[in-house]
Amino acid sequence: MDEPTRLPPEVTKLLARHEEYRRRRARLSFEEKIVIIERMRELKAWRKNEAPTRAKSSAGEFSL
Amino acid sequence: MKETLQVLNQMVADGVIDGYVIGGAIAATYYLEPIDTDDLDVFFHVAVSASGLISLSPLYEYLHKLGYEPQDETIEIAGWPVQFLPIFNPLLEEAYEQAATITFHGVPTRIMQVEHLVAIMVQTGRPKDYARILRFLEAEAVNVAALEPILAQHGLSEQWQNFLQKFEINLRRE
Repeated sequence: MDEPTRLPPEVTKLLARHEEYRRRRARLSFEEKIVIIERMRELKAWRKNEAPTRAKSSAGEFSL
Repeated sequence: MKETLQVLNQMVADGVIDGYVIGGAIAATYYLEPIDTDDLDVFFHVAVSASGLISLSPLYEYLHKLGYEPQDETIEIAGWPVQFLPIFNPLLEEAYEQAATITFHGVPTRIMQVEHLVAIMVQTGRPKDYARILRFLEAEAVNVAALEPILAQHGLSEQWQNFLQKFEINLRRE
């Protein structure tokens, strides 16, 4: 049997914080959750249609 | 979303559809954290014509008169792309019948119970369904004791066991 992978403590702490963040958002009202989803949709539409695109110069550098 | 639900309720009041239930990511969001999604999945009974043929024409015509037009597989209603999905099997039928009534900004609507939502994901079995089931289990948002009889009743116990095995999940049973 393989030994279970042990995560570094800082990663474990980060995952726990992320889980707590998700649980907090799960406790929001349905109305509040829908507002968040609507903002996500707006952001996606902005990225698709309006966000400035990154151009690569001849020197290989990216700029907005 | 409020206006979208009002239109759906009006469709029921006007007899365009018998009723509806919300499923998919929006229903999952009711039980979990907000899930990124582009549309609202609405399961409904298809009106069957006298000839026995299924027709979505009355639904499209009704919405067209209100100025809502189809876009790909959805119809955008008051800012929300709505995907109308016919109820086509006993599990969806049960999910429809046993749906919970909730309100959204005072507008009543019907949403699938969490156990039916998960059972449908087991049945559909796409990678995104499995990812979502994992999330329901991690968040302890689903009552496994209530879920498993539903899975058994609809012949999904084997898929469920395969899922648990694949993701090495040991359920705590109390």
